[in-house]
Amino acid sequence: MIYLIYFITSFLLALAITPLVKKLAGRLNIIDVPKAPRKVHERPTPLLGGLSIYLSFLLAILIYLNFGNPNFEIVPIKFFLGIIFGGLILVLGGAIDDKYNLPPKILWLFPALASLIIVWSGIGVGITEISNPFGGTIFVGYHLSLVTFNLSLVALLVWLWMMGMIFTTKLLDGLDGLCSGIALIGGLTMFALSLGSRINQPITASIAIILSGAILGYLIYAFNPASIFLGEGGSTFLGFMLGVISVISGAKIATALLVMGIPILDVAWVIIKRLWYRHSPFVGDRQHLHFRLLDIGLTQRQTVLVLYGISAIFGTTAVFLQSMGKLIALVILFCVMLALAMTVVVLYKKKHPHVPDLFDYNRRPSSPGPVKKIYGAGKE
Amino acid sequence: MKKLFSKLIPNKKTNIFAVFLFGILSIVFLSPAIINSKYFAPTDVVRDNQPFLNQTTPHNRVTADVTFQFLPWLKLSKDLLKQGDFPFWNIYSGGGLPLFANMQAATLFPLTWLFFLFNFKIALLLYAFFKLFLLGYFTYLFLKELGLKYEVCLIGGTAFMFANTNIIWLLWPLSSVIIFLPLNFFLIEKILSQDKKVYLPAFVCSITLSIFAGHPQTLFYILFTTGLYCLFRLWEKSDNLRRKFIRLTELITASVIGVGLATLAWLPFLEYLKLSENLINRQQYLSNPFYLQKFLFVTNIIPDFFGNPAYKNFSFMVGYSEQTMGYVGISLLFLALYAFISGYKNKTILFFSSLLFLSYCLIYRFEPIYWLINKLPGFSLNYNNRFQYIWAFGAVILGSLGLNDIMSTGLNKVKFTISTVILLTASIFYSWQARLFSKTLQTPITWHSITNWQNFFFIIFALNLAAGIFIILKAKNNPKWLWVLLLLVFFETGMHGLIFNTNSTDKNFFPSTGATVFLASDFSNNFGKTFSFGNIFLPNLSTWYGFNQVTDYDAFSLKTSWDFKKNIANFNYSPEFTNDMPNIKALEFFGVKNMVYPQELKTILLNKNPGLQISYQDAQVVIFQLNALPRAYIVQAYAASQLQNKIDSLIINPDKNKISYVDKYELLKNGTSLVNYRTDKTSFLITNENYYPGWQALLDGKDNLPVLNISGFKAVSLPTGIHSIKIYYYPKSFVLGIKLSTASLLFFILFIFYSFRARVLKPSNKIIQQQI
Repeated sequence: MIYLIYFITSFLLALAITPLVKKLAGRLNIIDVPKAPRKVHERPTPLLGGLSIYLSFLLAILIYLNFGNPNFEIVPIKFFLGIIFGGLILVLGGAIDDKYNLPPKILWLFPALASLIIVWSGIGVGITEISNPFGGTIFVGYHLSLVTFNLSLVALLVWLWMMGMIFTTKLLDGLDGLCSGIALIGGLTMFALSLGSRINQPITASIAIILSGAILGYLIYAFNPASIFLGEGGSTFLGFMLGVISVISGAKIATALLVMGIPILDVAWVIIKRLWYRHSPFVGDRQHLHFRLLDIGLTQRQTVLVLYGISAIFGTTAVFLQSMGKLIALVILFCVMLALAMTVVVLYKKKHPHVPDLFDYNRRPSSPGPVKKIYGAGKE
Repeated sequence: MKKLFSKLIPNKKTNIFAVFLFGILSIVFLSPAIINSKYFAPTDVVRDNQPFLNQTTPHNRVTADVTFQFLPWLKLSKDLLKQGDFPFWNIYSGGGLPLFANMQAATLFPLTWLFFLFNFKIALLLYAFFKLFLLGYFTYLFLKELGLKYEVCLIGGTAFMFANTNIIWLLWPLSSVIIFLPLNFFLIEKILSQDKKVYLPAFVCSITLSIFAGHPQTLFYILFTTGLYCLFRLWEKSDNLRRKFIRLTELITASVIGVGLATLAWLPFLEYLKLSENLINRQQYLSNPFYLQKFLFVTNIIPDFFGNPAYKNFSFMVGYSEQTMGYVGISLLFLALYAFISGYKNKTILFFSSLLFLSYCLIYRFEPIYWLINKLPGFSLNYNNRFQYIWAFGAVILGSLGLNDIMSTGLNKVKFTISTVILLTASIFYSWQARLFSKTLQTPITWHSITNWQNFFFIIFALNLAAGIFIILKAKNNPKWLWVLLLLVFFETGMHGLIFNTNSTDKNFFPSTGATVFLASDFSNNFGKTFSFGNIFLPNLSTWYGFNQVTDYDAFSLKTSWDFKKNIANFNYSPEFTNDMPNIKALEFFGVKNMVYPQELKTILLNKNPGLQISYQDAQVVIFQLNALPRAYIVQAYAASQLQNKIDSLIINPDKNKISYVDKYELLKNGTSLVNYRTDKTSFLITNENYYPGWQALLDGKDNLPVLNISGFKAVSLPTGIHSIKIYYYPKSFVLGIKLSTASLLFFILFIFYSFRARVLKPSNKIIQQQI
């Protein structure tokens, strides 16, 4: 019952705040103007959707912290501060990028800083063992002493994990409601998992349900046809939050991998491809699966719903699986991704037999061609 | 008649009229004590316990500290000053405790001098009068400096002078320090808005006097808030950076000189704090526990929701003093809300709104801001719920700004309605939460009657709010109604506070009884200490009557003394722990000659300890006489490394054969003692007085000997032969403080010279252009 109240609170807050943020984005002229080939929307749309999710989440979390009676001995206040300040950096940094279209080479700074704050706050850093899918645990509590710095292996892993999650949702942000919808499924899965008797983390469950409520409140405005976009800050904030929830108190990384499996594999695939063809991994193109699905003739809604469905199936499965089961599920997921990619390629070739694959790198160029920076002003 | 009034009452809209008004309001507040020729002090609380029991029921028990600490300290200070001694030391508390260094004795604060100049009855009235008056007048001056309408400034001044925070702590040093909050704000306004710098020296004096006022914790909050306001004003001022930097440097210099001038007060305090048990205890907290539950916010709206210690049939309450400090009256609270909603674009309103939010977070533990603020130096060790002083001040200023906004730019009906709805909703929400909490309490009165009281107060609140809104709406069109609002504010705060305070009759002002006379006479003749059971002779009451009570207590407590009593002698220092039978042998070792118990426990005690001798008894108390060790005695010399253990074991298992006596012991004034002894072996003189840095020994009037700390006692290594030793207190920290204060005084003189001669800074061309 109490979780329902948290959910409704953040949902209503997002519902109320999003129109205000839309106005603010208009006043600050932080608008996404349609531009081919990646910008598939038809009219200029305000960005800063991330700000509305962040504010709703922030207000709801403040209410939770002060009236929900959380046990700060389990999840210290410092963790919440890490989340609040890390999120703030991403949202503000994103807003700056949305406004001034920062060069791609400095775009990693905000996520790196936000992840560093998470590490500083201690989230996940206390983990010394992780589950071994083949039984037992793996010790990860190594420390490397470098003169005055005591570098913890887990801290490094948490930082890398956070960066990975942030970039996954950042690159996923291509269609109306795609990123936020997947994040919503992720949030709900984390919530269900945290409530289960195996994990039993009521605080994590509360954070997850508050995040989910805020995303859903925002999604009302952002589902196709969207009247507001997440923007850079929003897409990174959602990955950041899923990353945090999965490492806070531990035991949810595999689940996060499963829910975000399709986007993660998609991102990995695209990045490898870009690197292979000597293109910047930070510069956007239409290589992503969701663009491919659009190209084979699906509508935006259908594409988004297909990807929601896959994430939801794996998310639901993850809630009921043990470590070994999750490993198997991850293998299956990889196969599904492979099959999906192949199907898309085949269908695309069938549909456009004479059209050269505009976005396929049919040969490896000797040097990267001129690349127009279109990545960054995210679009849902 | 009208002419007569116009002659008697100064012209309206002048500072003289404000002085007149605040003076009259203060007199009205004190009128019950003035008219009935009573002491404006809660000394009737002594009637709660033996040997003072009679038919009197104390009016308000939560104001007890005044009786059990401050007034006895003032009396001792006064007596010592009369004898020509500076009140450094209190020989009547435990094994002796610093008096001046505890700061709350506030010996150097000018309002304290009233007690040295007048008898207590007059001094108490003047003390309260000046405090109230200055609180109101400085707030008025600050509001006036902000450019508010005259009547609004008077209303703000009235609200703050009678705000609960000042009424509850009126006779405490806390309110003495709070006086300097509006004064500092006023001086900052003056310093930053004018090129004339005569206010800089005044700011120096304000800082110095606020330190002398005697409450470091309050001082910390006030200096913190003053600093914030100073930075805010510098930030929002349309000066160039150079001018801002110069202003900031001047203010910082003034503050440093102000603190420097007061070194003689705070340096001894820091020395005492360092040796304090309470500080060590607080440092052990994982997180600061001094905050209020959120539902207690209801007391800002309905101050007596949990009862009032002064109401005969509704004294159900928990920590009234600590919880209800934020109340400034309904009207001002409503206006503050209106200002917050309607004027958020005004920077001053934004500052005070932020200050209120910050205060709320700190007082009611609003996470994670509470956690963050507690990371700032100083906050983690303080009673942060007492940040309510700042809340109250912020609410009054914000409310005044809101009222001024209504009077000057008109009333925004929508925002006015929203403010009303929010206040009503908040009052219902918090009352509901508070009522849920009340149910969980075990109270001396029935739940049903509590509910009735709470309903009653809620109705009073609603009527009060309705009256306030009605008057504000009327005042919008006719400013004369502002005088009615002033009266309403006085009723909400001053009249409420009037009920809270106690006026004691002559009979209840530290009454003398056979027991007190006996104990005082025994102490002056034989230096016999007293141990009293439970709440008989609460700490420092003995200071008033002139005998020594071993259960010492002030805000600090000496760690060494605490350790001895707790770990070795097996009796706790604090009165609430003394219900158990103490270790009589340890008491004897500690020099306790008299053990005071209520008459009804006499038989039980005698059954348990058949050897006990009764030295005095009356209808209420019985005093048993113990075979106490003298105040000073000689023990055989051990190797220095063994001495501590040997003494400890002696205390645990006293063997009087190992002890020899001195020829003569004389306790001179202010703790100085003179000992004549003879010994043929190297040995130690032990006194059962607290060791404290600064005590020195003089052998035969010429050679200095070090005073050692043995089990928290003062000890001196004795040369053989026949000698006399004088043990006296030489407060090194105070002496160093005086030197530093004198040096600061020189800087202060230079600073005054600078202030009056300083070049007037011309505004930059840019600023001039902006002004054009």
